[in-house]
Amino acid sequence: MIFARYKELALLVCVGLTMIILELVRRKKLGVRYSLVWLGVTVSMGVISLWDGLLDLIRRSIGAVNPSSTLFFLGILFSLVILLHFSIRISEYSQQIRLLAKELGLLRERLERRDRGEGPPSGGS
Amino acid sequence: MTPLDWKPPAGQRVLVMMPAYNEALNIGHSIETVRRDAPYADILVVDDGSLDATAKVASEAGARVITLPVNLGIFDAIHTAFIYAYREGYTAAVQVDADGQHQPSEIPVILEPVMRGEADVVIGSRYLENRGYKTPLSRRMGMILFANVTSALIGRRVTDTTCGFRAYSREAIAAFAQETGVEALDAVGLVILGRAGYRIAEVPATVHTRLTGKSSINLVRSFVYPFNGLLSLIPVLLNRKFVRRRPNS
Repeated sequence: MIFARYKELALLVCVGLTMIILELVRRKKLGVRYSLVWLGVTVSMGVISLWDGLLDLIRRSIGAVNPSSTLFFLGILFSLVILLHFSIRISEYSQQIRLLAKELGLLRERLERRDRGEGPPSGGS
Repeated sequence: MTPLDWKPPAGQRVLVMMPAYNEALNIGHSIETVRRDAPYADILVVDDGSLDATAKVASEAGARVITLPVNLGIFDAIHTAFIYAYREGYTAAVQVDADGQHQPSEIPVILEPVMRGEADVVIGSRYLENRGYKTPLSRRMGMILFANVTSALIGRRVTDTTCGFRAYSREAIAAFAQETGVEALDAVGLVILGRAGYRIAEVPATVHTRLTGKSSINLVRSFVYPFNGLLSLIPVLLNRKFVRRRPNS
């Protein structure tokens, strides 16, 4: 179970985090797509801190002894999921950037050839 | 007929692809040798974001030059050349190292099977015949392992999967040009093509040691390389439709 003071602290963190996220979105530093994920985190943190029985329910359903270890478990699980998500994104962006760099090189070659007044390559035939 | 008199059959257009990274010292000579020994071919240098004058030297030596804005690595440089060859309508492409290790006079030897329509990829192998090329044992171990894995996967014996002296048919050019998800085109590329019905052949080739400069492969990388390669095979093996199957096979 969570003691009263921890509850207030948790709520404070939730509200603070929510405000930071909204401000980041307003300043266009954070995309709406990612802000939803993080708002989801703050909302579930708020729900867990306000609804006393919920954490205990989750604790019993996964067979954990301690509510705080349950909380840590959920936190680590979330971190892993979001890390995997970012790895996927980085791979995707890397592939897109590589393709763009290649197209840029190809276009520049074509442009330079045109500037020199050359036609398409003949293949030496 | 000596190899120097060799000409591709009428209607065939050959592109020599040279990926280059900081090769300003070697590339001028390499291009001159190709122009002298293979005058029937166009030469394309893909300057992989070099910090030296590679692009300038290559252009002055008479090659077409694509300059990549950032260093992408050799496989992406070759991939760029495949896209170029595909779009410009070349019927065959030959990959030659920019550092002068390969013999342009041997280009007809690896091109012949492609021109006769017998193969889609022809590897100029350093190990098929003993021609005095020496490889450090640390690198040779990984290469042998890799050659065996590749041979088993494509059902055909290949001895040199890491060699950069190869010829490709129009079909192979098209397959590689349209493939964007592959992170390596050497042995992995062979496995992809081999399993999709493309025909792979090997002929013996003479390979010299480098003119100047250091090879991009050091001791640590020579150990990591085979594992990295085996890892890149996983998506290929898990995904049957990695490239479209060879037409008419």
